[in-house]
Amino acid sequence: MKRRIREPVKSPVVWIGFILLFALVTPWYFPSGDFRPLLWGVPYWAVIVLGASLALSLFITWVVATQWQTGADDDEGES
Amino acid sequence: MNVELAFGGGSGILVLLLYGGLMLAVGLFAYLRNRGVRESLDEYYLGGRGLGVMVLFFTFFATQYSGNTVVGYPPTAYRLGYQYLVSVPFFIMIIMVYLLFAPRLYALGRRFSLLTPVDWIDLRFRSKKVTILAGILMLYGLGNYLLEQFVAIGQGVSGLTGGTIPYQVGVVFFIVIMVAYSWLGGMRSVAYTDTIQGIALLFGVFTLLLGSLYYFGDLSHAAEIMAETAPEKLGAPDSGGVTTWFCLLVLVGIGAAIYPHAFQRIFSARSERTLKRSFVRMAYMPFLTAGVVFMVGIIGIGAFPALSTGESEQLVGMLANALANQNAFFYWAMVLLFGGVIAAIVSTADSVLLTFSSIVSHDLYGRYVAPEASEYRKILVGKLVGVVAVIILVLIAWYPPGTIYQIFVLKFEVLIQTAPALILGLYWRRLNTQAVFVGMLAGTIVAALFTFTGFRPLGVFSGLWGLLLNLILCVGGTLWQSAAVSEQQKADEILAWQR
Repeated sequence: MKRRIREPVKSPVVWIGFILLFALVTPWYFPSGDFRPLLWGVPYWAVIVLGASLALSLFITWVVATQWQTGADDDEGES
Repeated sequence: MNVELAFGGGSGILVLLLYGGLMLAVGLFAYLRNRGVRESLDEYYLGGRGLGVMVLFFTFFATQYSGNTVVGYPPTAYRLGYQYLVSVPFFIMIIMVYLLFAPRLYALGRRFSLLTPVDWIDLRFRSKKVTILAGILMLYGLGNYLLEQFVAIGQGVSGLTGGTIPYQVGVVFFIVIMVAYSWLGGMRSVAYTDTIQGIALLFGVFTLLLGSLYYFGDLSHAAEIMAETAPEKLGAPDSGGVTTWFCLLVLVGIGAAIYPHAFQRIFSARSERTLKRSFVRMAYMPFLTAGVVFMVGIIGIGAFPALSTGESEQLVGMLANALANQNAFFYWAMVLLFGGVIAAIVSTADSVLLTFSSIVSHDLYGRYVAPEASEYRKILVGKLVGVVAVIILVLIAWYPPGTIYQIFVLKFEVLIQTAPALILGLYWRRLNTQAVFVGMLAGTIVAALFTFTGFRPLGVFSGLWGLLLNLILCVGGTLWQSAAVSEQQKADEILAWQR
């Protein structure tokens, strides 16, 4: 009896997404020392990094919802 | 600058006593609801594998965020400015790393009734020396982690009560309470108290943020001061800063996800769905916890510019004192905040102690010393060894033994050496047991030597050098000679978990 199994580690989309977002939350792509414009007193680059961090959290939510299906609880009769 | 005792003293003692009483009540509640808790390893150490979303979420929260997040992070943000914004994504990284191994680990945990991380290593490799080495490394790392928490409890209690309660009394009081509620209800007690402690901490940091915003000005005010006096705190990091940022993301991501107490929590989820929902919530907590304390540090730059490094360590105390002087609401909110900080340290310590005892009960005593013993007896041995370890650690915390003190510093450096066995073992059927053992041992020796001698080539952390060597030996050894066919067949049977 074969069930449909999904694991994040086996999905190329998950790896690509994680690598891209990892690159975006690391601020290597801004000129060193640059901080203007400020948005509500926060340097623009920090706002972008925070935005990328939120994107990473949202991506994690998507991965958990769609890429993780092991049926581990089926043996126990749980849903 | 007078920052002492604007609050604390009697009120601090009252709040600590209330916290202590509440924790004991929770332990008693957990015990009365599950009378059989001390008869079964699963019940005692994993809460009967029945933790629901909210409680599971808070136990993960307690393993990742301790009192240090609240007291130690704002001063760092104060000194580094926006370069320390890395503290938000590095907590998200932990969840990302979990997703690379937790789904399979949870499924295997259910199928083989795994209890501890060492249990998994034993199932996968069937090698006494690998199991014992991993067990010892974990006990050693956890012991030192516990020691650090005890020192922090003592300092926190002494600080909150303005020295009214001496360091030693604070440590003993909270350790007795912690051991009592852990003994009463096991994992359920720990998880329920983690929930209360987590809520207290969140309430405290949000009040601190709101009060700071109201009384000390917003981020724009802090930005004006930084632009004038220290523009490097606003600026994007240079190449050195980016390297540090990168290292922190990798180190914290992998390190915190494979801490034994964090790893073990995966087994205690009621269902896969529960585990998934807890992880999703955890993915957003960095904004509400690390992000909030980061903002507090930045506001501190506007409130108290030009503090020295030593003075900046007291930043949270200064802000809290200043707020406590404003009105009764903030006075009590700040007392609760500091109570919450201590509670958060206790909640990290109790998780570590429980995992420590579980490895003794199940993996060392139960596997090698007395496999026939009843589960009740195994739990009892784990508890007693845990208490003996606690007593030794408390003595060390009081009388630090000068020259050999460094051996108590190793934690993460040692724990991370078990990562290849734990994680590669999940996916690589050809993994050679001998190579795993040699890698783990060599990685530990290198990490320890580099730490003791202060040798840090390229500025990279000693634990990572150990891990690199560990991985080279583990992967290289396996590529050179795969596991024997019979071993691969056994691995296949285990890893064919989807059936």
